[in-house]
Parts: sequence; C-alpha cells; structure tokens
Amino acid sequence: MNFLQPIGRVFIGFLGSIGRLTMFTGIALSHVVRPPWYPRIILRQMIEIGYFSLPVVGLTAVFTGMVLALQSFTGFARFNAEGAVANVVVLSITRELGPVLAGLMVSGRIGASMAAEIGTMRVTEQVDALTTLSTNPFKYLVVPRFIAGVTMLPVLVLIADIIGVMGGYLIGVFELGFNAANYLQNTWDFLTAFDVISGLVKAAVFGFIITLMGCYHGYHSQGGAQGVGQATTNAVVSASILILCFDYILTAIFFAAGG
Amino acid sequence: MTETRPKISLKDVHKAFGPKTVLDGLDLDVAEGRSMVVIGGSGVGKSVMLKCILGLLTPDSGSVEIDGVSVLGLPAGERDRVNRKVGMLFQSAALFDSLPVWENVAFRLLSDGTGRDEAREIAVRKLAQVGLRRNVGHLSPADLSGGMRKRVGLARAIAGDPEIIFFDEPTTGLDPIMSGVINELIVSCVRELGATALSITHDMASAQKIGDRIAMIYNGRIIWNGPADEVAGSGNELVEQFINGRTGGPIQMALRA
Ligand SMILES: Nc1ncnc2c1ncn2[C@@H]1O[C@H](COP(=O)(O)OP(=O)(O)O)[C@@H](O)[C@H]1O
Ligand SMILES: [Mg+2]
Repeated sequence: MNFLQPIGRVFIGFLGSIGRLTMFTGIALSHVVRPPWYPRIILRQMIEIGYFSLPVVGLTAVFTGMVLALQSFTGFARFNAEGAVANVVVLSITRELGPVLAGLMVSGRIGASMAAEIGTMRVTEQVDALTTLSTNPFKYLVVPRFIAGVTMLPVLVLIADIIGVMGGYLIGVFELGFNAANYLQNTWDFLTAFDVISGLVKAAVFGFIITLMGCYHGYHSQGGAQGVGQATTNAVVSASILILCFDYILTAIFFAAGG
Repeated sequence: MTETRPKISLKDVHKAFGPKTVLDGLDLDVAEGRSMVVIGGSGVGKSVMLKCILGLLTPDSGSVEIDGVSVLGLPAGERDRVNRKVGMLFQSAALFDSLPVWENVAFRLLSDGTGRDEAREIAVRKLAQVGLRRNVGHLSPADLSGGMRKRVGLARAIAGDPEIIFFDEPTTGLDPIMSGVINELIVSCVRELGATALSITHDMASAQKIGDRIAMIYNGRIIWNGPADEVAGSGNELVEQFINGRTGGPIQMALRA
C-alpha cells in the first residue's frame, strides 16, 4: 500500500493550497469593502498596470491584428469569401485574442513584479513592519493591486481592441487591396456590443487572476532571494494557466447565454 | 520601590514549526522602564520570541502579557491599540523601499491622518535625534548604508513615542564603530522616552552596553537571567561558553540546526 502514500501526500498538499488560496482571497475581498483605503497607492498601481503596460499590450495587439488579417485572407480565399476578413479580425480580437493576449502579457509584466515586490517585502520583514505600524498588509498591499487590476485590464483591452483592428485594417488595405471604406464598414456592421462587453468582462476577471496570483505567491514566499524567484515564477505560470482555463469557462457561459 | 508589575511577561511559551521545537517553555519578565537584553546563538529562536510578543506569530501554548493584559488572540482593533504602545527595530531595518526615508519615519503618523507637512517636520526631528540630517529624508532607503538604515529604522521605531521598544539584533552586520554609535543611540532614545526596552542580540559588547539585565536563551528556554554586570561571573557553563565564544563546551553548534 506504500505506493499510495506519495499520491495521498500530493493530493493533501494540493487541497491545502486550494484552502490557503481560498482563505487568502476571502480575507483580501473582505478588506476591499472596509476602510481605510489608500487612494495614492491605488493610483500608483493603476498607472503601473494601465499606463506602463500600454506599449507591450499595444504591440501585441497590432501584430495580432496584422497576422489575423493575413491568415484569414489565406483561408477565406480558398472559398472566395475574402469579404469576411474584416469581420473575422474584429470578432477574434474583441471576443478572444484581445483579452487573452493582453492578460498573458500583463501577467508576465505585472504578476511577476507584484510577486517579486511583495515577496521581497515578506522576506525582508517589511510585511511584518507594516503590521507593527498598525497597517494591515492586506489593505495596504493587496487591495490596491486588486482594484487597479480589475479596473485597468478592461481599459487596456479596449485599447488593444482598437489597435488590433487597426493592425488588421492596415494589412487589409495596404497589403490585401481592400477598399478602406468597405473594410471599416464590414468591421462595424457585424460587431455587436456584446462582442466587446464579453471581452471586457473577461479582461476584468483576468485582472483579478493576475493580481491575486501575484499577491498570493508574493505574500507566501519564504527563504530569501531564491524563494522570491520561485514565487515570481509561480505567479506567472499559475496566472497564465488560470487565464486560459477561465477564458474557456467564460466563453462557455457566454455561449450558453446565446452570445 | 519594590519590584513593579512587569511591563512584558511571557510564561511557559511554546512554539514549534512542524516537527521543530523552537520555544520550549520560555519564561521572561521585563520590568517597566528597564532594558532587558536576551542573548543566544543564531537560530535559537530569539526573533521568534519577539514575533510572539508582537503578535506576528502565535505561540502554541503559554501566555504573553503586556501591562498585565494577555495579548494573545486579540481582535484586530485591540491588537492595534497594543501596537501603538510598541516600536520595533527589525534586524534588517525593514524600511519600505517604495517610500522616501521621511515617509518611512512618519509612516504611522501619515496613516493616522497627520498632514504631510507636519509629519515631515516630525520626521526631520526624529532623524536629527538619530544623527541624520534633513536632506537624508528625501533619499530612498535603497541609497543608504547599513548603518544609516539602522538609524532610520530606529527613528521610525521611536516616532510614535512608544512605551515599549524592541530591538532585533541592532548591531549585526555593522562595523565596531557604527555598532558603538547605534548602541549609544539606543540607550539615549530609550532613556529619553522612558521606555521599556527588550533587545535580542548575539553581540556581547552590545548587550553589556544597552542592557540593565541580560537573559540567555538556549534550547527554547531562558537558562540564565541576571543584572548585566553579573553576566561575566555568572557561574553558568552555557553563559560562560557563549560570552567567551569557546567552541568546546556544553553548547554543541554542529548538533543543532
Ligand atoms: N516562519 C517560520 N517558519 C518556519 N520556521 C521558522 C519560522 N521562523 C523561524 N523559524 C525557525 O525558527 C528558528 C529560530 O529562528 P529565529 O528566531 O529567527 O532565530 P534567531 O535566534 O537567530 O533570531 C530557526 O531555525 C528558523 O528556521
Ligand atoms: Mg533573528
């Protein structure tokens, strides 16, 4: 029966992590709704997430839009449906690729830096120092990042949507020879508010996942510089996987809701 | 005056991490207005003891009292009231990297809603008290030397005019002269505040300088406790080995860890 032991140990360890994560989330959320809040820190985090992620998210979006236009043209040319290119580009970007790619890029940028920063604060006793100075670390460190992540990711994704569509437009008009007015017309005509909104809802959820993973792994890091490095890796990997999982779950929900 | 009620009192405190027992029935009283220094080797649980008093760790059993009131399992609001009486200088100073030095010093004032200009002035006064000039206030903690970080940490610890101050290895990692400076600052700050001090260190020179009383922790308990000037003639083998830094004796370093 001994071979069951390691399996059981891994399983119990897994349940333990789920429990710790749930507790962490619960405590953090309970502090979101209770004062004091720290507007200066929330603002700083919003700038960090929203403004400084713009270049990387913008670049990702423009290339994605360009590639989408080329690839869908290749596909649709085979059954003479080239007119659908604009359509495919805008739907893919707003519903799917905008939020997912922005989420993945931001998790690499922000999730990692949050885990590193909070992790360093943990191992250098700064988190303990907060407590002794009568400041709750959840309120001071975690809540501002949650709020910034959940509000700024949709903003980023909205901008990514626009830039992505522009990327498709550039290729469509200058490379594939579409008429500019027609291309834009095709983009608009088939786009519904739901396409955009569902993408922004995904973005808000991804913003939550990224900041949760960054804060959780940072907060629980231990063992000096190596532990902080481990926490950073864990934050990015777990956020990326969760983003892809929740992307499917949310898409399935929207699908069932008739979107 | 006869012996006053202890300001800080630990009774039969136990704390283990998994299978590893760190504190094993530790008893310690610190009298009001006195300076107690706890000495002991690296990794014997000195910091753990402090963290149990500060509420950063919860003992597995035993009692921790401040001003005669148990501080274990307090709700957050009550714990904050206790923390307001307390200042702490962490081993690595634990300055907040994201804030300039003066905001570190005035951290508690700022979070209590003191205006920024007033808080800055108070911070400058506290920095002066630890021998740092006004312009240091605008530097980032990352730009400071180890000795300056300790001074800023000390300024932050005394900024709230605490009744109790804890020092976790205040001189570790400093050169002997800077250690001397920090020791003197600690003595003068504690005296000025009339505070009760509890320090932990493995630096005997520092212990002699800042302590009225010295206690030694070994195997999770206090094995000797007496006036600072009697530590040299304590007659306790463990204490003698420790203060003379002998490798041979009852303390077997290699067997621990
Ligand atoms: N949070 C923790 N989790 C697990 N072990 C810990 C923790 N904090 C301290 N320890 C262990 O407790 C022992 C005592 O640590 P500490 O009190 O920091 O020693 P020191 O006397 O040098 O200050 C060490 O062996 C350390 O590994
Ligand atoms: Mg220590």
